Amino acid sequence: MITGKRAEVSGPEAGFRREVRAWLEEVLPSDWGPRRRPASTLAGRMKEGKAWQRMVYQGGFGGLGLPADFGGRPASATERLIFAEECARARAPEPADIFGQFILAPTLLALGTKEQKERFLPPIIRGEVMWCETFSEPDNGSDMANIQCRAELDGDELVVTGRKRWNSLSQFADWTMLLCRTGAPDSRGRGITFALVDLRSPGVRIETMPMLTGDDRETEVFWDEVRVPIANVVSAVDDGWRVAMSAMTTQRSIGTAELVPRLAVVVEDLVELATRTTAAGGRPAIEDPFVRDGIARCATDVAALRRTGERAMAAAAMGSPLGPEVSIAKLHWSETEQRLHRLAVELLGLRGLLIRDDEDAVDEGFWAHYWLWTHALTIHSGTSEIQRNIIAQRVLGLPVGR
Amino acid sequence: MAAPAVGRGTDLEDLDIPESARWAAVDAGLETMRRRVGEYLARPESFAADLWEVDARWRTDGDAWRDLCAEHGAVLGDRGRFAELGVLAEGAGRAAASIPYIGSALSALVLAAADPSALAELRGGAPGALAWAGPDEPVAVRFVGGLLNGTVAFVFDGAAAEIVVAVAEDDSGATVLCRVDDPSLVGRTTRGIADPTRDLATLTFDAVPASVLCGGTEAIGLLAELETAAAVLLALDAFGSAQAAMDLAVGYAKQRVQFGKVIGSYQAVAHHCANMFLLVENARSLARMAAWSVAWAEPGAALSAAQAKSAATENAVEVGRLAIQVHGGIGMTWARPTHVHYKRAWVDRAALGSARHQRERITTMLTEAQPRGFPPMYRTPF
Repeated sequence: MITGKRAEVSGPEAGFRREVRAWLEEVLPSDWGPRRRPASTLAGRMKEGKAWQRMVYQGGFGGLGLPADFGGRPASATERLIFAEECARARAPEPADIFGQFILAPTLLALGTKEQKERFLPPIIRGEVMWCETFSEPDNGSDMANIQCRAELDGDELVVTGRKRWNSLSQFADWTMLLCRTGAPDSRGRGITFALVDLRSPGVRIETMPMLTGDDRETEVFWDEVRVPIANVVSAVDDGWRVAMSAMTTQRSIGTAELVPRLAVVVEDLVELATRTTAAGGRPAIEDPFVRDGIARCATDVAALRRTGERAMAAAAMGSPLGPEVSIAKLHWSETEQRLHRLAVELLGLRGLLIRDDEDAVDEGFWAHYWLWTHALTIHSGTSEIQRNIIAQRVLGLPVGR
Repeated sequence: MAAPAVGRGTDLEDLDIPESARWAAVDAGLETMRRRVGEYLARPESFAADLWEVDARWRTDGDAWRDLCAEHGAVLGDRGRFAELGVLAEGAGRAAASIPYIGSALSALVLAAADPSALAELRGGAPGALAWAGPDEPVAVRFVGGLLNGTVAFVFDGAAAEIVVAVAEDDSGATVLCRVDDPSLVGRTTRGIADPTRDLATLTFDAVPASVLCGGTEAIGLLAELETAAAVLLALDAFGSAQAAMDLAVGYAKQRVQFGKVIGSYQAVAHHCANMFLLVENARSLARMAAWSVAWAEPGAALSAAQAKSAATENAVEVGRLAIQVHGGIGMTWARPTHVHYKRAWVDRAALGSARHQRERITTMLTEAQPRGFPPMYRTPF
C-alpha cells in the first residue's frame, strides 16, 4: 500500500521558482507590492500589458512551453504553473495578448502548417503583437455553429463580408482569429472556416461598445469585402469548426493553471481589505461574522479549484485521458470570481460603489470595477448555462434536449 | 525513502506535476481499495424500503465492520495510513453504511500510543466511541478522583461501543483523555435522529471509573489532531453520500418519462444534475486532498481539513436537496434511499465542528501571522 511521505521540494522545481522570483524582483518597480493595483483605465491596462509581455520575453520567459524553433522556451507543465504562481504572487501585470499567447499559439501548434507556425508564432512569443477573436455575432452568441459572416472564395483569397460582436479588446489588437461562413447558410459546423486576419486590411471597421463597467472593452467589427489570403486559413476551408472547438477547449481549460494563483491573490487582498475597512458600528469589517463566513467560503472555493486542477494535472502526467475535472473548471472559476468581488463590494457599503472618477473611490475603484466586470465571466467563452449543458450531456450522459 | 509507486508503475519523482499535486497522483493508487470497499458495502436501491419495513432506526452492522477490519483494521490508529481510513469513510457515506468507523477511528487515535491492547481490540473490529461533544461545544465531563461525571449529548457509535474513550476536564480545568474501565457502567440513550443509518447516542457518566491516557499539553495537541481527523472523516463521508445521491438522481432523470420525454432532457432538470456534479467534484478534491495532508502530517493539514469539512458537507446537503427535487414525489418516500443520504449529510455538516465553525476557523487561520517559510497566497505549501 502507498505510505510515501511528500518528498522535499525537488531541485528543478525550487530552482525554477527561485529564477522566476529573482527576475520579478529585478524588473518590477520597488513600489510594487500587495497594495499595487492594475491601471484604472482600460487603455492604461493595455499599455501596461503590452510593455509587460515584451519584458517577459526579454527576461527569457517568452513562449514558456513552446518549442525553441519559434523562439519559445521548452518548459514543463509544472514550470508553467510556477511562472503563473510567481507572477500572481508579485502582482505582475497580465499580458495584453491573452488571445495570441494562450489560445492561438497552442491551436496553431496543434493544427497550423509549418509556414503558419514560422510566421505567426515568433511575434506572439516575443510579445510584439496582440491578437483578438472575432467569433460571435449579434445574432449568434452561444449558438456559434450558426455564424453567418460570409466569406466567398475568389482565387487564392477569401472575401469576407459581415458583422462580428463581442470582440474583446480588438481596438487594441493587430490581428484577429476569424470564424466565417464558407458553406451554405444552414451548413452549421460543416461550412465554417477559421482564418487569421490583419486588422489593418481594407474594409475592416471597428466600433467600440460602452460596457456596464464604464470601459469600452468589447467591440463590433464590420467586414466589407475584406480580402484574406487562403494561406491564412488554419486547417482547411470549411474545417474551421474543429479548429474553433480546439481553441475554445484551450480557452476554457486555461482556468485551472493560470487563474487559480490570481484568484488566491484576490482572496489575500480581500482579507487585507476587510482588515483595513471600518464597517457599520465602527468595528473592522474583518470582525463581522458575515464577512468572516464569506471570506472562508471564497477561500474554500479557490482551494477547491486548486485541488481539482491538481487532479487534472496528475491525471495528465500519468497519461490518463482528460477527465471531468476540466469541464467544471470554467463554470466554477467564473462563479467563484463573481462571489469574491461581490463580497468585497458588499463589505465596503456605499463606498464600494464609488467608481474610479470619485476621489474617495476605494483602491481607485478597483473593487467596484472588477465586481461589475465579473458579470461577464459567466457569459463569455460559453455561458454558465452552456457549460452546464456540456456537463449534463457529455459527462453525465443525459439526453440532448432543446 | 523511495518514492511511492503510483498508478501504472510510474515513478512519482518522474511525473511532470508540482509538489502540491502529488497527493492526486498517489491517490490514484487507492482506486482498487475504493472499488473493493464499495462492492463490499453496496446496498440494493431498495435498502431504504427494507429499513422502513424493519425499523427505521439505526442498527450497527457489526459483522460488516469486523469483516472490513479483518482486511483494513491496521489503518486504525496509524496516522500515516489515514488516506486508507478515508476510503472506509467515503465508502460508508456512499453506501449510507451503519458501521462504527468514526467512533473506532477517533478512539484509536487516542489509544494508539497509550494502550496497545485496546488498539488491537479496535483493529479486530470491536466498536469504539469517543465521548466528545466536538470543538464547538464546551467539555461537560469532569474527571475527578478517578471518576467520570457528566453527559455528552451526541456520541458517534456510542450505543454499540465496546471501548469508550472520554474527553474530560480535571478539577483544575485541564483537558484529560481517559479510557472508561468498564463500558457497561456508561448510561446510553439511543437518539431518534433523522438519519436512520447513524448510531448517535447520549452517554451519561455517573461516577464511572476511568484511567487517564494523557493530559497536559499532550492532551491539547491530541485534541487538535482529533478535530482535524474528525473533520476529514466527516468530509469524506459527506462526499460519498453526495456522490450516491447524485448517482440516484441522474439515474432517475434518465428513466423517468414525462410529456413523452425522459426528464433529464429538460434543461431545468439537466442543470440541477450539472450543479450536483460540480458540488460533488469539489467535495471530492477537497476531502481527498485533506486526507493526504493528514497522512503526511503537513503543516497545512488543519486548514485543508477545515476547508474540506466546510465545503464537502455543505455541498452534500445541497446535492441531497437537489437530488430529492429531481426525483419529484418519489424522492419524498422510502422507495428510494435519496433522503437517507440527504439526512446523513445534515449529520455530517453539524457534527464534531459544524461547517460554520470550520469557516470561522478558516478565516482565523487566514488572518493569523504567516507561518515561516510559507508563500502567502495559498497559506498551504506549494
